[in-house]
Formats: sequence, C-alpha cells, structure tokens
Amino acid sequence: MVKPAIVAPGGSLEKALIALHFGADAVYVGARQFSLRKSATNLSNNELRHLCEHAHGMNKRVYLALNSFPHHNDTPAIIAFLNQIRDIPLDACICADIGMVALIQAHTPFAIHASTQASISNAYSAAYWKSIGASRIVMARELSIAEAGEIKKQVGISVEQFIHGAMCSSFSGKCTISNVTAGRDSNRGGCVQSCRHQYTLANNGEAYHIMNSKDLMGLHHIPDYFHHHIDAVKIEGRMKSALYVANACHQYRMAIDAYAQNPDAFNPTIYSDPLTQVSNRGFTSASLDSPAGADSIDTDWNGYTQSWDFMGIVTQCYGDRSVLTTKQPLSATDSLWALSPNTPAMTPITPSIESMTGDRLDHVAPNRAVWLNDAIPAFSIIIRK
Amino acid sequence: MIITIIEHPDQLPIITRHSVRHVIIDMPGWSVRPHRLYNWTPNDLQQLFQKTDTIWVNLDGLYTPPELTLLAHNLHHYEGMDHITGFRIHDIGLATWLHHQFPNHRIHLTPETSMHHYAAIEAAFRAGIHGITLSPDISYSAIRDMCQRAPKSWSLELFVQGPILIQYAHRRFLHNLLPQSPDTIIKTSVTDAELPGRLFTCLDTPFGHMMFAHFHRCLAMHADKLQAVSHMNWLIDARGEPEPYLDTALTLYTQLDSLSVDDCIAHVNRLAAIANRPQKPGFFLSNNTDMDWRNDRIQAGEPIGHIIATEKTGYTLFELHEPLPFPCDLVCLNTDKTQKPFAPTSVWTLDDAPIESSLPVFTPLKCPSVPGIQFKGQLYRKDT
Repeated sequence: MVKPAIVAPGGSLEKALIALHFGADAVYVGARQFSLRKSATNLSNNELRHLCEHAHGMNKRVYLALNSFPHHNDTPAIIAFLNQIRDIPLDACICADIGMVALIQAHTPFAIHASTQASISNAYSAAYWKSIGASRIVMARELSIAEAGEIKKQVGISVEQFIHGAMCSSFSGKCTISNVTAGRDSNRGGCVQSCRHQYTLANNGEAYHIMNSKDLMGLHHIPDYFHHHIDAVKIEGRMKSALYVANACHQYRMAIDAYAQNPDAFNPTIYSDPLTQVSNRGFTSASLDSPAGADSIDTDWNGYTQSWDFMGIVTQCYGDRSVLTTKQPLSATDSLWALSPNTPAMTPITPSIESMTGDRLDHVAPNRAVWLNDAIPAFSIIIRK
Repeated sequence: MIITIIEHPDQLPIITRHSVRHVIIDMPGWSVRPHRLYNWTPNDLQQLFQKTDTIWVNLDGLYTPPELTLLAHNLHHYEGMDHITGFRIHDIGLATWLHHQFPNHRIHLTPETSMHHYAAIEAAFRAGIHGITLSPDISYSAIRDMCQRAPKSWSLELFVQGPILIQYAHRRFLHNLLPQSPDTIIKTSVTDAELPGRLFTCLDTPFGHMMFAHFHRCLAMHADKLQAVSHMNWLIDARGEPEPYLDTALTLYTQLDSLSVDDCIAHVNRLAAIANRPQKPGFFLSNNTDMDWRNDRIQAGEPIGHIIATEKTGYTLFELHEPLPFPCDLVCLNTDKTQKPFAPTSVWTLDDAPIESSLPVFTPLKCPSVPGIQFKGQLYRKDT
C-alpha cells in the first residue's frame, strides 16, 4: 500500500527541522523573498541550503514556496534572487503564477509544483500546468478527494491535497480584499485576513462573521486519500507555532502509518483528539467529501480554542541534561509534558530547572535558554496541560 | 475600442446610441457573476449580432468537475454559438479545451486571471490566448512599460470603469445565511465592523460568492495617461447598476477626448451618485502595496546567524549559518530594528566545550551576555 507523503510547513528553519523529525516526508518553506508568508520568519539562503542537506540526509525533501503573484516591477529582483539560489539542491519550487514558472525555468534547474494558489479545479487546468512543466499539482481546496484522484488519473500527474490547517474562505489566490482595504497585497504575502472580520448585512441589519472558515481536518478521510491514490497530503501553517507543526506531523504520521499497516483496525479518533488540543478555529472537512456548506463557516466565532500551552523547545540533549528554550513564563511547579519525535505518547517531565550558569530556578521568563535535568530528545516540544 | 457588458436586450438601444460595437454577455449556467439571470436566446443574439461587431460570452469561473460537465452540456446544446465571437475565461486551463471544441472562437482572459507582469502575459499568449484584460492591481507605469514591449499582435485591454471584484469564493456565504432556492441570486451591501462607512457589494450566485470593492474603478479623470496607452481596448463593466449608469459611463468614455474637465467631473459625479459608491482610480496611478512588499530583512542582505536566547546577566545563545573564524566582529539587527554590535570574545558549546579557532555552523553556541541583543535578532557581517 503506497502511503501519501506528508508535506508540512516550515515557517522557519527550526520549524522545518521539527516537521521533518516529527514525521513529515517533505517540508515547504519560504525564502526571504517572494513567498506568500511575508510575516513568517522564513529562511535565509544559507538556511535553505542547510535544510536541504539535512532533509536529504534523512531521505526527505524540501520545496520552496514562490507562490506569490509578483508585479511587473518585481521581475528584476526575482531574476536576481533565482540566480542566487540556483545552486541550492531544492527538490521543487511551488508556483501559482505562470510568469513565475517561466522565470524559474529560465534561470534555475528546479522542478515545478503548481500551488493551491493557482486554484486548479479541473482536469483541463491540471493538464495546462502539466504542459508548462509542472510535475505536481496542489489541488484547489474546493475539490473533493475523489475529484483530485480522478484528475490524477485523467491527466497523469502527481497530485497533492490539503489535509489540515486554516483555510482561505475564497478560492486561494482569488481574494484581494486586503489590497483595497489595508493597502497590503494578499497575493504577495500581506493578507490581513479580512475574511475573519464581522460584516453587517444591509438586507437584515444583522452582523455575522459571514466568511470565517473553520480549520480543515482530514484525519477521518485518510482511507479516502489512500483509496484515490493521492500522492501527498499537505498541512497548512507556516505562520503557526512549533507545537502546532510538531503535533500535526506527529498525529498524521502515526495515523497514516497505522492505516497502512492495518486498515481494518484504523481508529482516527486516537489521532484527531490531540489535534483539537492546539489552537484552532473549530474543524471542518470542508470539500474533502462534498462541497463545503454552511457548517464549514463559524459565523458566531469568538476566539480560538486550545487546551495545551506551548512552553518551549528542547534544542539539544547532552547525556542526562537537555537545553530548553522557553516560549512562555514557566514555573518549576508546572505540569509539563514532552512531545518527542518517534515517541507515540507524551511523557511527563519533572521540571528541575537550572540556568546556563548552573543556578537552580523556580521561574523562567520567555525566550530564555535553561537546563532541564532530564534526558529529553532534541526537537521535543514542551507543553503544559 | 470600447467593449462593455450588457445584461439584457433592453440595454441594446444604449450601446447602439453610443456606437459601441463590442459586447460581452453573461449566460446562466455558464457565467459565474451575472447580477440578473437572463438567458440570451439565439434570436436575441441574432439581433445583437446585427448591431455589433463582436459578441463575447463570459466563462469566468474556476469550474469544478461537475460544473464543467454542466458547462460543456450547455455549450454544446446552445444553438446561437455561430453569433458568438469568443469566450472570456478566468481559468487559462480551459483554453485548450475550448480551442478544440470551438476552433473558430477566440479566447480572452478576464481581469481576475491575475496578469500582473510581462512574463505572465507572454506565457499566456504562448498558450494560445488571443487577448488579455490586465489586472486592475497594476499601475500605469507598469502598464505602459508592458505595452511598449508587447508585440502589436497582442490584444491587451484595460478595465477602465466599474465595480472591482475583490473576492471570489466557491462557498455561498449569503445563501448560508439567507436560504433561498439554489438558483436564486442574492445581492446585498455589507459593512466591515472594522471599516465602518464603507459599503461592499456582495453577490451570491449558483457558482459562489463574489465581493466587490467599496469604490468603483474610474479612470476617466486620467485621460492623459489613458491616451498614452490608447491602443489598448477599454473595458466598461456596469453590471448590477441601473441603466443610467451604463449610459453615463458610455457617454463619458466615448467622448473623453472632447469633454471639458468640468463635464468630465460632472459625469463622474453622476456615476458616483447612481452607484452610491466613490469613483476612484484604484491602483492605476500607483500601487503602494508594492512598497509593503519590500522587506527590511531583504535590504539588510543575507543574515549569517541568529540569536536563540538571551539572559541579561548570564549567556547569549546564538547559531551561525556560515563558518566564521573566531574571534569575529558581527552586527545584530534586533526585531525592533535597532542594531547592536555582537563581537563575543569567549564562546562555548552548550555543554561548555570552549571554541578557540572557528565557529561551527548550525550548532547552538553560548557567549557571555551581550547588552542590547534581543531574542530572534539576526546576525550580519559588520561590513553589510
């Protein structure tokens, strides 16, 4: 049984490495320019090169998102940038703009994946992208898994489909609300998420979050991804926390492996419950099965849901001690758990904390590095329940 | 050349009066954003054909497989196809299929296809497209530059007047809230709680949800710039507005060369009053989102490391992305954009092994706390 590859977000080098160590088969990242996530940390060219070497050493892949819709005046900078990165061993560039494809092909040897921002929603569109050199299509969010599988069969091209994370309410790449309301180009990384706002309808005077999409969760549809031979499943979230990335990769890795090993015994709830513990807007299966309806929108939305607090990341482990970089104020009396690569269940930890100079600490501020007197593997995520 | 969209045969006298010879129509089951559902019969098209030179149909959706099946059925069973000059498409992938099915019809890309730069336009013409309406997001200087480079055989079009589509969704947001028959078109104005006073038009059709800007695009007050790109076609879209809007818009643009400034202003004011929307050039004069797109981090050059953690009285933890001889002299660009020197004289690995000659890459290192250095600061060579 061929497993769909997991393609996970790497909003920074650290998050990309975490994704790979928690089970992603590939990561998609942005460089400092021309990606759609301008506010993410993104990666420098040196970081990109290092990530490729690290990923290839694990037999995994790195895709560079160049999925913005650049303007005419951006072209010289794009060409200069492509010439800077042409020697980095990237596995593909993800593009939405056919002009960007032409520029990449003219200046680099990189393979092309068609981004979901291109909103490819039928076989003719997929065939066009194949004809201009795309080797994979990231399907439009509006398609079902069955439709994506049928397009793959008709066109003869690798297909990737989203499985988890936040969603544009519109066709991806077909919203410019931010451009005219905030002076920020939503298709060049400046989206201000106007779709999350509350709107008052002149028809009835009522105010609703009329287009506030719930987050996608496709865990219960894993059998369908297998059945329709989807080549890769994608997790959204280059702006999300390292906890989100680790948890999503971890749960989907375990779920896909479990289904492949014994489909009859597959119990998705085991893996979906932990996904609900990390910050989310409520979940929907959107159009994975049939066109997304009213239940995919949270019109009365009043905040994120979460029950785990992200406390820090273990950056190194030396013998029986580990280095923790904190993200929130942490106390020695907190109930802490470690989510570790290759460890199915979370493990409780007793927070015995020392400063880098060896002083025992009862409290630690955010953004500090401290010793944990516990052997916790590197890349582990520390949470408070 | 002016081309406009007409919604109903009743509008034929208006375009005839203004000698407009090129029209676009919407068809139910074909076009995604008609404000009025009017099914143009072959007889209607015959009459339209007698009064015009070209008739185009909007196939302006991103069609999912079931929608495409319906569209194909509708196209093949329509008897008035001989009167249609070509199709206006949003999904460039449809071009090959349409060429194959209707080899005598021409294909044109709508403004929503996001044609923003020369390489994209060139790629589209290479795919067999006959014409392109440029995106309303690009400014005059870019348009002029592209026009100067473009071969004369390329048909380029400028959207000069009408509502700007700023969102196209497959989900039917209004239908969710105001349930009616699936075939019903729902239209309303909405206001964003965070932007009071701005009226956005929302349109819900069987193909999805469309949202329009709180102002209309209007380039009439910039006749000098329009003349510089005068070989482009001008697109006027009056859909959703009453007939006097179409009439006024056609008067304005067909007579733009001869109208006085005062008359021009009067017509623009009339358009604003009819539509109850400001009339603005949008991004035609300049696009300031181009400036937002520029990134401080890019201008600073390539960082060679970053700060992992800081302690005021202990250590600073950092990581390098390039091998450096030690000692080294660096600058830290903090997240608040302040710059501080970063030139540690003693460095250790986290398990206290001293570094004496060169600093390893992608390995967490520590040095005595450096004042003013912030978490997530980026490290640069001093000479950059």
